[in-house]
Amino acid sequence: MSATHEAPAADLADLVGRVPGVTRLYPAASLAGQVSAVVASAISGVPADQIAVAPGRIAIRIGVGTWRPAAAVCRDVYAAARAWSQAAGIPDAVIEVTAASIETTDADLSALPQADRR
Amino acid sequence: MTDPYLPGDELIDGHTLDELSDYLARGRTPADPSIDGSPECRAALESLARLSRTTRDLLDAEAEQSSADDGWVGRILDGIRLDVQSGRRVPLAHPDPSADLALTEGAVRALVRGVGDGIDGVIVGRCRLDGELETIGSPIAVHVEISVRYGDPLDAVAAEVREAVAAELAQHAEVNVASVDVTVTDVRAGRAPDGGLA
Repeated sequence: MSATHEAPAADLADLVGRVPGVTRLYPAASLAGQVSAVVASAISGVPADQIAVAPGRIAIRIGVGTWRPAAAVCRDVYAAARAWSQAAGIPDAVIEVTAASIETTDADLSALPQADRR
Repeated sequence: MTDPYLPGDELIDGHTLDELSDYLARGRTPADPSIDGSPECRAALESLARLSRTTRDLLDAEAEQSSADDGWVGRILDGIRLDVQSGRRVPLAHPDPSADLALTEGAVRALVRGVGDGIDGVIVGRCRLDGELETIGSPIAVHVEISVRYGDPLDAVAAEVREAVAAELAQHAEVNVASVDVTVTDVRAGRAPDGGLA
């Protein structure tokens, strides 16, 4: 089963991006993501390396800020994805949410020291 | 000497530290999706930027003198390269068995590094998480190596790092922190009141 026209995977990416505390979406890197990314792209129009949707599994990889607990953000992303999966006709899918980064500051643009760089 | 813990290829998601620091120095332009889309690279950029701010102060103070001590900077760069690797999955509890929620070990280490670096005068050299990270509730021992500014009270600084790291891990990763061991590996020069090196 695949995402329906009424609930395309692009909507899922949008939903995830709106969860408070989510700072970015990373390409899905799990095995499920690698296998299903092309399928997801074909059925939904979402870039193949974004959220991976496969029959039975949805893989989401996010970056989070520190102003909310990362664990709480992951649970809220899960809740959003579960609601989406039900609307998309895949209510029993396993939903994998991985916080791949917790960003404490924004990297600035300053030059770096040259000492012992390798 | 080669550090046995460092990845053999010395790459961070396909990029060297040199490439990442050059990218940062260029203002991250032109945008490189292979860097911006990599959590490992982004964590390294964050750490490099914080390190840059600290060493810039030193370099300003030293003016025409030799650059910042290669030794401690090198150790910190090694630590960054090691710590940003994604590592194990740190699971989060959820009542729905079809929910597979986790943080990467690299994200947790980057959090520890960010917390430590946020304490005045501290730069984190390395962070290690020992224990069954992939088992919810299993006790975890955290080991943090830090560089401290000359003149700062070592015991007090270490205690501050210990408390801050434990608190942030409990809040964000919900891991069972059994201990936080802080080791001061370097004491580096800092700014004296007259603006020179202390």
